[in-house]
Amino acid sequence: MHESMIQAKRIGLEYGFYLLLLAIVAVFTVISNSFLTVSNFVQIAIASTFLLAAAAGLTLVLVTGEIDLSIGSTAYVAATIVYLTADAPAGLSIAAALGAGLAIGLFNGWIVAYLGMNSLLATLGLMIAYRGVALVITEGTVKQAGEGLADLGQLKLFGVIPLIFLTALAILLVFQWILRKTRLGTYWLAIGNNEDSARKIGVPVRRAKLAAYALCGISAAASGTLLAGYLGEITTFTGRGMEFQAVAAVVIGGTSLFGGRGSAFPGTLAGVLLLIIINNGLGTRGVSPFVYPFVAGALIFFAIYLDAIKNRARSS
Amino acid sequence: MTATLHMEGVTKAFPGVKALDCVSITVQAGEVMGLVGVNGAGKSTLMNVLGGIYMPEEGHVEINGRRVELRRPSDADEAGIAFIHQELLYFPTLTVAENMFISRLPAGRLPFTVDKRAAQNRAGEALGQLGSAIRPSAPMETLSVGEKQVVEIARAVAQGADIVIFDEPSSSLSIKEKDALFAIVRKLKAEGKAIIYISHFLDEIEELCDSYAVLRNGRLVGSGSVATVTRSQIVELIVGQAMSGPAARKRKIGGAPRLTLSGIRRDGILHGIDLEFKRGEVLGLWGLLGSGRTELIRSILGLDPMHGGSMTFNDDGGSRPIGHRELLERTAYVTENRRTDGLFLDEAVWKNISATTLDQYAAGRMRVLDKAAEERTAISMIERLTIRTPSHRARAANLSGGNQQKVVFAKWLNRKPEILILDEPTRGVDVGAKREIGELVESLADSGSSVLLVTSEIEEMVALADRVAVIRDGVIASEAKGESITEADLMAAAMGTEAADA
Repeated sequence: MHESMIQAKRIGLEYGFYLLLLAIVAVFTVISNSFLTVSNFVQIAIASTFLLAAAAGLTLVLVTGEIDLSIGSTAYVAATIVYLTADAPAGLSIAAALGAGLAIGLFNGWIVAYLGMNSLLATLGLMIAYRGVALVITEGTVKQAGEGLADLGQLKLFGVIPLIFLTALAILLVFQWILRKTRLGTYWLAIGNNEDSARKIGVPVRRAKLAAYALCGISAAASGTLLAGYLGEITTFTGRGMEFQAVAAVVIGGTSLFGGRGSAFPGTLAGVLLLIIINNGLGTRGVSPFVYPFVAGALIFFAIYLDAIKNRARSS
Repeated sequence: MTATLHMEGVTKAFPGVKALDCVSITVQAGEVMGLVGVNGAGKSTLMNVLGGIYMPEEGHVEINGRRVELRRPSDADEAGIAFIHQELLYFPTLTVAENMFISRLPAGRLPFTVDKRAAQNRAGEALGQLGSAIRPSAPMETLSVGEKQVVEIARAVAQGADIVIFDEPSSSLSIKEKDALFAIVRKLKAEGKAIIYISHFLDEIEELCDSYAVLRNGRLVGSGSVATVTRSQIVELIVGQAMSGPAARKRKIGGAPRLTLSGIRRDGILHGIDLEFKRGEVLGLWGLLGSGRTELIRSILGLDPMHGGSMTFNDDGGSRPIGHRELLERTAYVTENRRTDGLFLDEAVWKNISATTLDQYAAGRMRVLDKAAEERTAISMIERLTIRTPSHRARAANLSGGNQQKVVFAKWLNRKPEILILDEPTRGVDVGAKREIGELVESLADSGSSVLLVTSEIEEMVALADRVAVIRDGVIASEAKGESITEADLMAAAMGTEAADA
């Protein structure tokens, strides 16, 4: 009896929020006629795309027990690369943007893993610096993306499913595969559990962290590129505040801020969907858009509180 | 695979102390050797030589008659030597199989991938060999302490270790888990492994080991077959004859009772402890690691659960029950972890000294701290306790261990505590400071405080305590006072030998 109670509590903590997601979908379905429609689901998919792409990489960094707050600015920098290469073929433009993300990710990883700087403060500073770089390039104005890329951004498979959403989903699934199936992924989890033990036992801690940041940089850049492709232009709002939304989505999805546990799929996917669906559902009900930050904030608070409880349960 | 381990004439010196002096031991394949000795006798140093952590100045290690060079931990791995540490290294959210093979995960078919099925199969095999039914796919965090230890042993077996060293493996296990551990050790023995089993519990040595080796002050003072030796002979070897005479100091006789504990229980650890703290007396609480000595203190102060028993406090006015909260407030508790629990390392010495008594310095309606008064008190304390510090404004982190400990004392002295609890007060402190701290403890007791001293250094216990309660398996096994406090008797009582053949 006692054992089964503990088991029930564990399952509740672990899967409770998937039930919440289902409940929210059910509530919006009942209270709004326009929620459960194909066109609205396409809307949700598109709105999820950019957060999904960035949060996928952030999941890996959080699993190692670190954080990357520069992802929003990285997305903006990548988008400005799209602008700079607007005359080149779409493929080249995408490659250049992702390459910039990789370079930024490697730099972030080097600073954290090799120079030993605190990741929260280091990437907070870099968040500001990268945005500055992007603003210098765009001179703070809206810029055009290449036509080829803009066309790709509007492409829908079977005329329904947005290609950009599938792309973001693919990135997420690949990252989940790396996390669960490869040696690197096991190292990340081990490092997040206990960095000291991992080092003692022979895990290449620094290289593994560098790799997590590199993938996170690519994933943030993909987010910026997808947005530029979808809009056909690069706005100065690209990626602004996205780091906090992404941290929230990842943590809501069950990845621990303390490291060592988490998943991109289904965790982070569900976290992103929850945030986006609440926003969307409130919108279809005609609720003031100013209510959303409050609801999202409450949810984030709740998710982080849950994470703390789980972590306490684990350390006792 | 089987192996015979031989260490020949191993000598290792550290600045000022010869940690190992020409120690030779042999463990045959299929033999369990019990290694015993007090803390600081050289057991850890000897094992660190085997682990490739220390290089001996003289002597060498042979496995199956061939000399092996152990220069780094990986050399020990390759030589087939595995350690089961008291503190387990593990990753809670990874599975049992991942924990066992983290540094050598089997490759899958695709590049970079891990063949989890293969890892789990191999983990299952290794666990099965030990007769364990732990699932290789279970997350490590869902296992009990004993099961985690089994995983650690299975890891050693899976890595092909022929020589397995257990470092006080039973101290955190329940009785049932201990039985399981013993069964595994016997199984390894039957497979022809050479095993070294370090323990303070002589009954374990008697039950489990074929041979024994006793270290004292870095020397091998006795070894042989367990069958031909009595427990009290081993105790004599551990303690040494010369040191067991009564201490020169006159022991005080305590005054009126201050705090009376009766029937203190904590499930699985403390089984009804009765103890009386008297005024003006140093009461020693002596017991082995895991006997419940620190747990008793934590339970009565409300830092850990207490499942039964009562506590009575005696004021000048009379006696009354006292709660954890009030007891904690009336007690100065010098913990064994000075650096984490006892000091604000980054703060100045004077701030550390006044930290427990800020109320005394808070002046006026706004309760602003009188910094000058704080500093004056600190300066006088530094003088009184001869704390060696460049200035009272130096950071506590910059002081030596002994002087840091004196700062901790100063902090509590300031509060004039009625009860002073010292848990390992001289750990990591040099000899000179040790003596001074000893004198301080004496003078505190003289001024009327009730001092409770917990230490794992037997000389210190004999030198300082006026009365000693021996705790064993969660009960007070015996009590000694005055002239009857001797090292041999305390050791025997803690290990549970006096009934056997004293």
